Amino acid sequence: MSLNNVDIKRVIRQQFSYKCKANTSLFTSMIVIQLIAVLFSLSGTGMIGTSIGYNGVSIQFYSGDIVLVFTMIWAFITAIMLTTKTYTETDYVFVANHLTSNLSNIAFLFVASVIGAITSLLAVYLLKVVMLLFFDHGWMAASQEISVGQWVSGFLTTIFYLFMFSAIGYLIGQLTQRNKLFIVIIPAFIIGSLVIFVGSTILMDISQFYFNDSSFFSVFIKTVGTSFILFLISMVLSNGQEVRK
Amino acid sequence: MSSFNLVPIIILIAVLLIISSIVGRLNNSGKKVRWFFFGYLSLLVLSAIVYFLLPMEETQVGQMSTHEEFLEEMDEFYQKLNTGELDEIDPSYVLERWEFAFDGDALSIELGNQEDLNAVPIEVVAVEELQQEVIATYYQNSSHLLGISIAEYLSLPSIDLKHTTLEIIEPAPNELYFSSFKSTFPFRQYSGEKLMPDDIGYSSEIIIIQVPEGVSIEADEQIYVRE
Repeated sequence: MSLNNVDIKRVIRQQFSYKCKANTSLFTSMIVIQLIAVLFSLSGTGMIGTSIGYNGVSIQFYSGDIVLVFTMIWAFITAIMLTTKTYTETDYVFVANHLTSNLSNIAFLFVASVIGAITSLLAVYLLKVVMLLFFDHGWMAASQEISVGQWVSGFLTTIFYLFMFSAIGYLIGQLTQRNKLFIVIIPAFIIGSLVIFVGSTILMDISQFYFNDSSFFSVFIKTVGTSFILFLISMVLSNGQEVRK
Repeated sequence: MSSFNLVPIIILIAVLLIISSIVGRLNNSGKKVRWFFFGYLSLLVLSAIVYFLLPMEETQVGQMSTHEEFLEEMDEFYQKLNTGELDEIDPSYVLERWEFAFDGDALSIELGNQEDLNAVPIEVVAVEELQQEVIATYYQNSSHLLGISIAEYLSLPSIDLKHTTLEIIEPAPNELYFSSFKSTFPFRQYSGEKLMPDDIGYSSEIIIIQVPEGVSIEADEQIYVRE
């Protein structure tokens, strides 16, 4: 059936709505991952020591970094899973083609990124409450005060990072769907890169490019731009495949 | 200051096992998964509410102050110390004061068990107005960690006068543990806050021993006697 006779927007909306209902199980893994991250975070994300007079002083730092990194990994894996046969089969409940399937997947991944961002930020309070109630520490300088603008920027950036990681996962998923050899090539490439670039600043430069930019507009352009390019490549790759394998 | 507690870790592991078991039983059926998700969301929202209701003022240590304030205080403190205006020094810098009656002509000052020679400098000052008395004062111009004073938690030496010998004994090893929450990295990215700050603490301390003028001093070489 040609899509000329069908309203593309309506199909995407239907597919998106269906995916939101059908893929809720993906969020149970997110919950488990975030709780594991909270558990790991209890040991702190850094420690620093000094001496004052006759006293040794140590400060242990805690943050939601591990929770967010784990949620990024979840977004990455979730996106890969969406490209697998188990999940793509559900697309054909509706009259669909690759375009509607991809766009509804991207919409779902965006919603998943928003949910991941909200829950990972709230999970930090779970960590804080556990620490405050069960650990007899001297708490100091809870955190630097941040303005409403910085908070909103930080929250939106969290969504963009999750969305970008899901875009990377989606591209890897599409590559492996296109040719199973990529299942071996991609991990080999990643591990190989890590070995080759040990001691070089390339990985650090890439991380600085995204994570060390204090301009929200610039971060927005970088993350959303990267996501757009990655999703675009994924869509082009998926168009080269059969409609239904 | 710190006691590493295994209870929360055991509780969290138990919670994880229970959750894994629930997840397995849910068999990914839509309605149950949704209930599970909203249960988790409710737990997180409840945690946020509990966090804001907790009496953080009691849990936090000390009050915030800035690095610039510390530098200003230090300048002023040492200026007064060097010009002998000890009475003009902010009384809040005095962490401990020892006063002893003394009517001898010679005073011997010994470091009882000082292992770290650079721990706290000690200085002896002859004071014209002082009569038949030796005063030792432990000054600390605001020991700050992450901009917060922790002076009240510090162990101080004990100082005692036995006949004509003033003995300074350093305290038993004391390790203080503090914890600090930092924002998640996308928020730190905009606020400029660092997870691991370059400077965590600024402190300057000194023990000043005031003796009457004319008393001859015999002291360990680590002790500076002002002429």
